Amino acid sequence: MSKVTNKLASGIRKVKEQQATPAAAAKQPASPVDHGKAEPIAIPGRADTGSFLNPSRVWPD
Amino acid sequence: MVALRIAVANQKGGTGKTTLTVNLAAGFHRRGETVLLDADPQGSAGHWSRVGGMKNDLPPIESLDGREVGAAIGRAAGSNRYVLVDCPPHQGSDILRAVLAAVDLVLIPVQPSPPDIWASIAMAEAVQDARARNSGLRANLVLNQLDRRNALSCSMHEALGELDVPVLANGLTRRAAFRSAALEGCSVYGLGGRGTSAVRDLEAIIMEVMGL
Repeated sequence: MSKVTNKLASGIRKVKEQQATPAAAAKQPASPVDHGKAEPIAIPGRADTGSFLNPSRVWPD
Repeated sequence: MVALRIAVANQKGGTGKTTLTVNLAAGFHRRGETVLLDADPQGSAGHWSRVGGMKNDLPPIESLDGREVGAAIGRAAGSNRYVLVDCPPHQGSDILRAVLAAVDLVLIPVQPSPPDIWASIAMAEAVQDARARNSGLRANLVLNQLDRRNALSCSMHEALGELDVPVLANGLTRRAAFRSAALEGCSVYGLGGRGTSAVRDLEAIIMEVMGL
């Protein structure tokens, strides 16, 4: 068996093993980063300014 | 009439499903009534035929939508000697499952590249699943785009012995004739002398398939 054949055959065996246990491979921990999906938390002491996405004022002072 | 129903399938795109299906269909068309059912939503087989217009040498090509796939294949088998189905490139698709439940043989084209080989492992498993509904389903890998000067091409037969699906002894060599045929909207049989070597490849595959 040539070196290339060995590598190909070994790759096939690895992929077959991986596919035989898909649940373990697919289970990834959830990312703690929300990528800006959630609204920013209001900053204490800065009342009445609303949030970044829903400002209480639309015109600057 | 007992038709031979052949699906050409692989979950990976770009493995040469349509090229193999269209040219095989043209080869079978020379032997008896043949229809090509295009189950691929991309409709490439239909485009191929339309490029060639009325003068192409291809058998009739019918679009197969997602409904009543099994019944459509059954109807085609009632009035043809050979039925070929070009499958969509999604392993989990309902259409592919329905096709595999309704054919006699599935050919899985594989190119000499590791990602193609890895994708064919999942296809081999899909075939195993399909046998629960279609116990007579036969399956073979077909090597495509072979280049004898390339070490990967030379190693394919031996390495694919790791899979449960056998490999056809004959495959398609990488040839410009297949691209020319698509460009002109015909099969390699319709290219005359320019298609001689490609026709030889296809005839060897057809003879092997008919002897299975």
